[in-house]
Amino acid sequence: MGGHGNNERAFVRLTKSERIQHVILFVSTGLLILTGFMLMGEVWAIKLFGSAGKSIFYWRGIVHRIAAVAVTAVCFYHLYYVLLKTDGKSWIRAMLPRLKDGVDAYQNVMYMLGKRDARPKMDRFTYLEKLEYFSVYFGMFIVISTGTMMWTQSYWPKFYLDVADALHLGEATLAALAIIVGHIFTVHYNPHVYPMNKAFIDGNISESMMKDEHSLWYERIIADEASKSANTANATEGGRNA
Amino acid sequence: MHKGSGASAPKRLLVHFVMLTIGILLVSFSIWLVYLTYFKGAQRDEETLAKKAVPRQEMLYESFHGIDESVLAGSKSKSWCLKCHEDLSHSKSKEARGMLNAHSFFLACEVCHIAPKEGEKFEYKWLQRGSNTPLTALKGQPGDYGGTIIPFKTENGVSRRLDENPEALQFLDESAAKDSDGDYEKRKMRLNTDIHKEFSPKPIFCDECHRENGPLDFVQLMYSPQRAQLLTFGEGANIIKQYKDFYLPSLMRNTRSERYSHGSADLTQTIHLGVGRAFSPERDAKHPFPAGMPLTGTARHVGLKPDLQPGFKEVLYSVALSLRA
Repeated sequence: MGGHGNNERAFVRLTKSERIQHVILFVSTGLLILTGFMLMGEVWAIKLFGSAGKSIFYWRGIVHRIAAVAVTAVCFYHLYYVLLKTDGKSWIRAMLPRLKDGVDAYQNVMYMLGKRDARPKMDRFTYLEKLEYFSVYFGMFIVISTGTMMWTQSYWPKFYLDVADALHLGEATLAALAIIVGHIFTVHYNPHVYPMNKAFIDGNISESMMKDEHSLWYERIIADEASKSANTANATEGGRNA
Repeated sequence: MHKGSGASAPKRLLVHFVMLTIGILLVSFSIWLVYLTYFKGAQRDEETLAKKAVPRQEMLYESFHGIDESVLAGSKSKSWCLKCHEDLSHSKSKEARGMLNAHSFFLACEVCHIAPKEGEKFEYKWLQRGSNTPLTALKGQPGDYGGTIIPFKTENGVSRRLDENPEALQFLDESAAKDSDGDYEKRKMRLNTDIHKEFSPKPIFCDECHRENGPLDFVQLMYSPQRAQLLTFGEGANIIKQYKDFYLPSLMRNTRSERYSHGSADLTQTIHLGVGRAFSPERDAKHPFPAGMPLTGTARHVGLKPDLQPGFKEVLYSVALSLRA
């Protein structure tokens, strides 16, 4: 394992609030994917439920809606978090796309093609992480709005419901594939972190991983600490002299 | 990978096993999603399926009210019934008259108003309007194929058009000419009995044709197998079966509780297959599904249609119930 060595220094990657938000998000998204795609289930598979099928499908609808409410709530809480909380504000400031992200992407591809010797130095969030983060905004906007429409379907014309249905399913498929192919791979199956990146549990990232993947952020933290301790030392000295 | 030295070999194996299992599941799920989107997703609902299965002009996928076009075009050949009855002859039932009059643009009145007696079998043919030659294929908008379905009755080896009664027609013309005759009322009564003697007191009702093994064989009438399915089991046909009394206000009412009460489909029994056909193992054993009919079956069609799924109140109610239990 690349990170979490016993004697290594740990840095805070996710605060407690962020970890709780993430747990609610992935539990409810998992339930939503499971209960949602049951609707697309193959007939032979559904027949396996036998006589319990009717109540299973009834509860499928209930669970889907409960998970939807949970995920909507956590999305709105997250908006509040990034707009008004201190930790959240620093999160979103670091997350905002910058010109450097484009440069990073280009240089990273060049590195992977063997045209560069090293990966670009990346900040707290890499361009891929930013992309993944904002695609959740996009996806949530679509699934929450279309899902709300379908839940309140007696108020909508059929045409809009058909469009909402198509968008909901399309975005759900896209999101499920993005989560499995993108996110699950990065945090579980990528050899750097296999079998899992524990940051979502303890919130920590190891020093070696910091140097490896977020070297710019790492260097800045170290420099900050150095200047702080220098200031403290100066202040203490000044105090003595007085 | 280079796991910490603390982990024992069996534990490491277990981790590999779990991760491999989850990985295989996730990859299969992704492959299924891709299959749904690009290979199956395209035909996941009845409408797209029907569009694929049936040439566009022959498909009423917009709604069965597409029939209006032929109503606008007007009846191209007038039945002699219309000498006395009005063009839009069905007027008694407000709820059903639109549907009945729409049918009279392509059905001879006798199709519904002369019911075959026990053991009797009529033959039904499309005849071109005007020329009265049999149609060889159905072309054009549904209900407006340029022809009329005419019933034929075979008596003593002779096939006779039931919508023609030369004798009565002549009588009718004479009576019109001799209206001034003082004997008019008497003549009219005799005429009435004579013309209507073959007619059934009660017409054939919608669901007597829109069902399996009804008097009209839709495939023999040159409808495509898919369209024949639609006429037998489709939405319109199902509405007739469910709402025999044509109590339209109830049909159109859109309250959730009302729709709920109709959502009694049993998941294990009723799986919609193909164009709106309710699938039941028992019935299908008796009446096998036509060969070549594309099948679709998704949970979306498994009895619990989206509009039968619980609303916000129902969710709260179910949760409250389960908490109490």
